[in-house]
Amino acid sequence: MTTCNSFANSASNTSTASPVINGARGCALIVDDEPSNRRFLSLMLANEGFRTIEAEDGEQAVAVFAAEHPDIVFMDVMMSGIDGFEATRRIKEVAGLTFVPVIFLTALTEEQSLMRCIEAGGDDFLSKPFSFMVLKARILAMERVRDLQRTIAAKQQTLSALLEQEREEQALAERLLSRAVTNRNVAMDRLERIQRPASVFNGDLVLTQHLPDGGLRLLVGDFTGHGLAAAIGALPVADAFHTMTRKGVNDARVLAEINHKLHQILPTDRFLAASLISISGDGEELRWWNGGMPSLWMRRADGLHELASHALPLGILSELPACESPRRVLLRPGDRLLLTSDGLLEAVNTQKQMFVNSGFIEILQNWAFNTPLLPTLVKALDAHSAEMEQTDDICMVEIPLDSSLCTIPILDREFIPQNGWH
Amino acid sequence: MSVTRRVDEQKSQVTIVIDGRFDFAQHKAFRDAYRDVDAKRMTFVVDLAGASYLDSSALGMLLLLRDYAGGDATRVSIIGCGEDVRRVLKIANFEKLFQLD
Repeated sequence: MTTCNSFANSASNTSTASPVINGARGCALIVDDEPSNRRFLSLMLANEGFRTIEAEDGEQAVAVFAAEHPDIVFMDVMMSGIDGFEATRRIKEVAGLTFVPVIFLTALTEEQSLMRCIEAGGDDFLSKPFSFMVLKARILAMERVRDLQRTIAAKQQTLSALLEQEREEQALAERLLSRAVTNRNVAMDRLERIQRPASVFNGDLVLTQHLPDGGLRLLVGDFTGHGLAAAIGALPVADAFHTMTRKGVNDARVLAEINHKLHQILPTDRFLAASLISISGDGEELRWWNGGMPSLWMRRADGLHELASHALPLGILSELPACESPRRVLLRPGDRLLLTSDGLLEAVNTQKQMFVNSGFIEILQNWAFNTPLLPTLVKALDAHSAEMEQTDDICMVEIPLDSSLCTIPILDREFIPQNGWH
Repeated sequence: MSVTRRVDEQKSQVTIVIDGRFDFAQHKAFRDAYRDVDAKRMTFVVDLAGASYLDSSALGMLLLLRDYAGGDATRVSIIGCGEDVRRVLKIANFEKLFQLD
């Protein structure tokens, strides 16, 4: 096997005309079965500043390439054993994503053969006999392409590393954040719930907490936008919601407090659309408030009831208008309630139709009394948005409005008993 | 997708016209349409007749304009809302913050 050859080195060492430092342009592999051709090219390349290594057939070329990692390859076509086309194919496989230019030096002239050089993975070709100036120019052009590719590859590697780091940090932050927000939730096993974030962080929020009378309060919210910026606002909301609900503070005051906090911390263009519902400890009364969320739907024995948005989202005005207070409904056995975020209604199909205009209403209309809706709804959504990328957070919560949601009233309290109701 | 504006000096009114999707991609163009306007002298009209879709960040941009105009419901009107756009504005109860036609 011819490795980095002493002949070329000694040739260039003795050459007083050598304009550049030997080897400064990297290592060139010369593949040719004719020793005189190798020697001639080796001399020329050494003069151009290349360290040269040689191979006398295709198999040797692949082996030398794998062992020495040259920076450029000059390939003959017709050789015994595997030819230049096959050797190039194998060399390109060994090189993988690293770009090492292969220039064919061939006696073949018909266009078909030249095309085969490129198809085999060659980057350029020169027909023998070639002028030295032309070869010099081609090498320069190839080096330019190679350097560009190396720059891009290096940047790509940096970018991949950064992206990977970013993903890990996001996953960690999401874990901490979502635990901090949801770890105080209660009775989640009694709710039917589907949450599908569009990014690592979920801008949709579901909070539950028991009232001192054993009743249950639920908040379903949707921050402007999604991702980290949307999710981070959930912390102060969750804090106020859980603490005040456990103390039995009424709906209007909890909403006023969350609104106040968000108005203080969020920029003007950010807000939280939210629905808040409370079920009394005896399971007989529902109180609801809807600020900027899609309608809540209640299926009762006498039909479907829409609880439409009647209030502004939270965090926009410094104080909530008095006319936007929560409303009451007396519950009856078998009542069920559905809450959704707009990500569900606006999910598009391949024809760009939103789910709200394409199937959602029909599903509501066919909702049988006292039966779960969510399985049907999810199936229809999946069929609707098949092959489409999800662009917004999706949240659906279905609640059977009966006293099984409630818990035994808290008896041991330090504060004055309140039921969070009046 | 475009944001254009017309200034009517006689009526002291700036009209901002949105075409196509009104979402976060329009953030800069929308802000540029009013940031050099004297809000004390002019009132604003946002024409959504050509807007096909509004997302929550578009609602946020309308809030920024409202804030720029002085935070008063009478200084910003929204006109030409189609069915989908009206649904989004209605759910958010923005008729309490803007003059809707």
